[in-house]
Amino acid sequence: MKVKVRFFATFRELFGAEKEVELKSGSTIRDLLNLLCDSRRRRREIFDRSGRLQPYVKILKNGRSIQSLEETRIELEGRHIQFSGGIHTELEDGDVVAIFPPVGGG
Amino acid sequence: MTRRVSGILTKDELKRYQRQITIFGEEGQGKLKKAKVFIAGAGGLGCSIAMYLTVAGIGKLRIVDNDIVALENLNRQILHWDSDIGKKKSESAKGKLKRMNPDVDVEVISETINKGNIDGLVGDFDMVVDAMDNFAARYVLNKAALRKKIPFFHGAVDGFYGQVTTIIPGRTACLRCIFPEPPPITVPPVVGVTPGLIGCIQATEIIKYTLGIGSLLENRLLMWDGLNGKIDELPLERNPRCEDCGQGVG
Repeated sequence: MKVKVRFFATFRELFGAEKEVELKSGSTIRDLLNLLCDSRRRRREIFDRSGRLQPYVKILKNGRSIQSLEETRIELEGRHIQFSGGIHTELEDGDVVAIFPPVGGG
Repeated sequence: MTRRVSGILTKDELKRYQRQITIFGEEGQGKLKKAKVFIAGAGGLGCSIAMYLTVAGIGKLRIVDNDIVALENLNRQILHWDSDIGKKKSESAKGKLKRMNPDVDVEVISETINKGNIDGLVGDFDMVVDAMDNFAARYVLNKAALRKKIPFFHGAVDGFYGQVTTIIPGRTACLRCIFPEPPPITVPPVVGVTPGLIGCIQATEIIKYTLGIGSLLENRLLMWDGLNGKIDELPLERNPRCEDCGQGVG
């Protein structure tokens, strides 16, 4: 499947303005970000040292903030843990994902 | 000696604002004259916002900034000139604005905005304008505007990039819904034209809000990319769990 990624503000200098990305079906926002972060510099902008999404990075999937989609942990039979929402939001063919940091100067 | 006309505007005012009264009418111009706008910051954004609100005939401006004019400010903070280096930015701004339009009541306060003094600083003003250079101060303004239920006009810049939106408490996403966490503290590069333009958009929003005309940037984040000459608009929504405006926050 293909998704369109749009970067805004200072992320444009590092990632370009727009990209079309080919992904396996069932891929999540995290999979997409892993694919986009193909250099140390790019990775540092999106993830912190422990591999968590930088808290200030804003991601919209088809115009909706993924941060507002609740992240849930589901325990199945006491061991299997499944996540949904947030960075674990699944993508579908044709989705448009916007990624940007707030700019802070005045 | 100015003669009162229609109870609201003087003869000189009718002439000064002639080209916009054609759009707003005298009644609209009267609304601008009654408006009281609080501008947080007299830097790149603040200079642009304050200049256009002054020439538009906003009745009262209160500008708060605790900085001193420095040489490295002059590429973008256009109310401060070479001869102002070493002066308080608030006083430098006031001097120029009064010369642009002596009818506007410009009040300046040299203080650093914090959560302890913000409610007193905003007082009974109708609107809060974000012309700050950091998110910590922006969150303080956001909360004050929410408490007072008055609109908050957000703008921010970095290099050739800018973002702007209009926050109406109870109706739109607040700044914390949009950006729950601040970006890292940096000294971003800024080309003067960027805060010039973003400040003009903020001033446009303030004029429209005051007059009740047009469509505000409500739940819309306008993204300006000056380097590529592109404007985009991203949809915003309230976060029901927002720590500043979510359900259960008083």
